[in-house]
Amino acid sequence: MQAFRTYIDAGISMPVSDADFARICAAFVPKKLKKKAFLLRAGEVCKHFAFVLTGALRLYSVDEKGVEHVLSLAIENWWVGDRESCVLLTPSRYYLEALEDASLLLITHAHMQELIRTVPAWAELMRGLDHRHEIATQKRLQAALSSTGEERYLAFRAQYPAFEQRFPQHLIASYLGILPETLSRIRAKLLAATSQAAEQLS
Amino acid sequence: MFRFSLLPMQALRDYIDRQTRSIISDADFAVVMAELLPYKLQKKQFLLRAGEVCQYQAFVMEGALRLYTVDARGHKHIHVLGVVNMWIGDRESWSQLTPSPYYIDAVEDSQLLLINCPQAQGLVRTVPLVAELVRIQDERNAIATQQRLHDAISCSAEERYAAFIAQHPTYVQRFSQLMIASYLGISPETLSRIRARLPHIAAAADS
Repeated sequence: MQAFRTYIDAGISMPVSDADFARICAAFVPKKLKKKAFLLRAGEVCKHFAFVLTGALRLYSVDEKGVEHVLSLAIENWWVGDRESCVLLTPSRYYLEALEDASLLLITHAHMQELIRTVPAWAELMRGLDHRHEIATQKRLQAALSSTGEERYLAFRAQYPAFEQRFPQHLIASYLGILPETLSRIRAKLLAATSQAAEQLS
Repeated sequence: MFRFSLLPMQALRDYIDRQTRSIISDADFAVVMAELLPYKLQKKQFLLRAGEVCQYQAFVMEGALRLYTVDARGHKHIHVLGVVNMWIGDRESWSQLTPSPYYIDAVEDSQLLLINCPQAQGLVRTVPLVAELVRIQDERNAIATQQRLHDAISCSAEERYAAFIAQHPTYVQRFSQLMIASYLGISPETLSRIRARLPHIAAAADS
């Protein structure tokens, strides 16, 4: 739990007190998820939002043609869940699956609101998180609507350098909203440009 | 800048009460009002231009605005359409004081209430109901953006248009086809084709 405490302290102006940290921990339920196990399936209500202590997960939907679309990828110190279903208690359209064995901390929306009301440090952390999340999601949305596949891939690599080693290419392609073949082509082209530049330098 | 003397402040009060499901006290409302700067923007006037720092988030009391970028080829990409009871601004530039890549201009004559980041943070600290309002607003934004992102990566242009009409039935009268196409990330020609193919949706939208 020290990692969780470090994560909290990094997002607030004053280190969290022992009493507040105990209250925060009491609101969460620890959960282990084996690789390929599901925390949520389409049609269910997303009862919990998950904080990732270790492991990697993906949140995705499946369209009527059977094609999967990755909405979120998550690794250590990330939050993952279907916010809409969690807040409104509506059936989710998403699957949440572990891509590696994962250790999670789960919290219900009700407990989350309770923490926000009673622990000011937690309210501060969540405000900052919502603020940054909204900025990042808006950027991704705009990239999906108005950038080329290559621009999106370059922005993704720059923003999440750790993701490329953790997730297979076809999931990254899905996350970027491009075909796996297109991503291969983009990567080959960038690689060729890099080696050409290296040759010219040598 | 035009200061206006008589504002329909009750509308803002109703908005706060409705969103937070409580009743803001006269004292708290006075504290909030003291931080908000009334501002009038005429149609086609800019609130923000690319390269500037976005000093203010604007709450729309009346009118309509758009937030957009212009790409290297000179194409506009509309990211946000703002109407009554919505906030519009570049959050990143506003909080980090970095130059913004966005333009914000008025699509109709608009009345706004402006707030800068330190003022907003001060209100969040001193007025608990404002903290609650910001939390609820962020939650709603997160849900709306998640939906839009889902549609952008997994739905056809036709599905996105149909969802847009269902969610924002009044936008079609207020924003041009060109703007709506840009907002949906599709070409104007594609939007015309979709409207021709889906006459019942286009008719419902236009009525």
